[in-house]
Amino acid sequence: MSRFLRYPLYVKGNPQRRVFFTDFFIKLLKSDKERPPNVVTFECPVTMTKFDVKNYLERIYNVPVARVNTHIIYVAFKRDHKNRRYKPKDDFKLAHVTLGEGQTFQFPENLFTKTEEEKTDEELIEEVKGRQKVRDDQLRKRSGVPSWFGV
Amino acid sequence: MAASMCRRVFPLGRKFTRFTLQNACQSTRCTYSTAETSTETQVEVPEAKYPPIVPPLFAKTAETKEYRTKLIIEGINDKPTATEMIYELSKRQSWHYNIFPRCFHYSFLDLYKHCMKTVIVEDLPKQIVELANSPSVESAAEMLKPHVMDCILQQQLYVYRYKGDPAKRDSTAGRQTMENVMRLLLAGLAGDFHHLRDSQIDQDVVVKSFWKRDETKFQFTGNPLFLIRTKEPLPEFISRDDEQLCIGEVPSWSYAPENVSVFKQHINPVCFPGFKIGNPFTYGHTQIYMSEFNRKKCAENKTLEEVLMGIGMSSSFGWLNGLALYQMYNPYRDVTQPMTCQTIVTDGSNFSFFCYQLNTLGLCSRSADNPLRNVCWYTPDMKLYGDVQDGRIIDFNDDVLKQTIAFLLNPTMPLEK
Repeated sequence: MSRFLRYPLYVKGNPQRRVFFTDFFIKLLKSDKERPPNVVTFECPVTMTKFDVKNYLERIYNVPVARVNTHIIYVAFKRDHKNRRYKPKDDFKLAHVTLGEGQTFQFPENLFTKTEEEKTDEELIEEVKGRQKVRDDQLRKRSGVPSWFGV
Repeated sequence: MAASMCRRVFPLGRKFTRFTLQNACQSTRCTYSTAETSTETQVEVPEAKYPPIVPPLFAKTAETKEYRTKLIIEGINDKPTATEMIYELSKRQSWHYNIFPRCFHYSFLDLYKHCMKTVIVEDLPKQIVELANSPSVESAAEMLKPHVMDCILQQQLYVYRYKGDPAKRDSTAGRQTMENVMRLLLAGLAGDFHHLRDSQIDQDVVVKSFWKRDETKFQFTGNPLFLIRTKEPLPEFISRDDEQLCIGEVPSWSYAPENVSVFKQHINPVCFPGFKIGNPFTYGHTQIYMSEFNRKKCAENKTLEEVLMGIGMSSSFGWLNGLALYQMYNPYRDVTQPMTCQTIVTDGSNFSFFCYQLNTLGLCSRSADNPLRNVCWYTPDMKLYGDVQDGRIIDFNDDVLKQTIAFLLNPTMPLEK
């Protein structure tokens, strides 16, 4: 058991018959390295344990889980313009889940990329602006001297 | 000087050349021999010999890298003793993946097969099967059976057992039973079989060895219950030229070993096959491993057979690899003839039998074109006895006892030189 009570047995107020959602949310990631087809990577909160991940996947999604390996990713401090320390992102836990017998998973490719036809005018304008900004930044780095001038 | 004087004495115009004139004079004078060349004796000129071109030692090129690794490997192979060679191999700390006999991760066996380059074959080799059915083994089994049954009953009925954790109790009971049964078998058989009489037995030692597979380094650590070592090696089970088993590739595992819960450590690797260098009993005969884990849980996950295969295969390879290192072989100097050993994996009542033949140690990327692979034979789990009821053993399986005795009686052969 963890140090603090995460699953409250009783919550004040009526009605008492309520549906509780999970306290955690885990995110499916595309794994950084090449992994076997039966290994899936999730990003989870640091407080979530291996057993939590296993129960989460088995109870909610009916996914058979054979083994969960976890490790915590420490996000380093950064300094802002006043030299104060800040965390760009909270620490998080990665869970490499080995699926049960016969289960495989492949992360879908091009899940959130749109084709040219699906893009709206505003998005196209944003894209052009972005490209222009890159060019401007390059110019600014060279103090306005064009790229063709130089060694 | 002469030419300039000649020019001064016989001045010619700029448009005329003197060479044709001189050549004409020379041909008329005929100062050299006009005899045919074929009659002349050919003088043999020794071919120029140069030292080999060596790339610079500290450049950042592929040639230099190759040359430096070559120097290092030569340094390792030139060492006169095994101690120095093993020190040379293990003196630098580096990342090693820890291989233990027991692993419970789903589909871990693919990694084990890949990193030991081993092919697994069901059923034991022919000679062992024949030996198990031979009259000498049968008579020995007949002689020892009542004693073995007595020993098991003693352990089951009369020895005080720790009343706490049942898993701990069972593992202790299995270990003690196996110790006593093995002592009984060895005492009963050593009188008639000189290879057993002339052998050494290590009990409850740590076996360690290290190797390299495709630039990935591995460290094996095992804890066998018994090691039987002899002065002469066991004969090979099959010839190393056998195309069906010994030559070929094993399915490759291209992923990181962390994916099957095999983790790495920054260590100096250790080689210790159960004894120190200088001991004359340098060949492995038989080893016995206890399978102290929850069989019920494994059977539920349908991984029991895989786990047992992992124990038998990895422990055999780890031990033979350590023995080979002691005999001055290493990943860069392959074994000259195959090494063999026999492994029994048991929990006191369930027995699995393994025979292992180490054909090659060249597993690293430098010997990528090495066609050989190692072979492991195994039998699935067998029960020695069914149950103990009313002070009697029910369903005693003679085949298991015969197989165990056949392993012990497998005779050694002197080395061919």
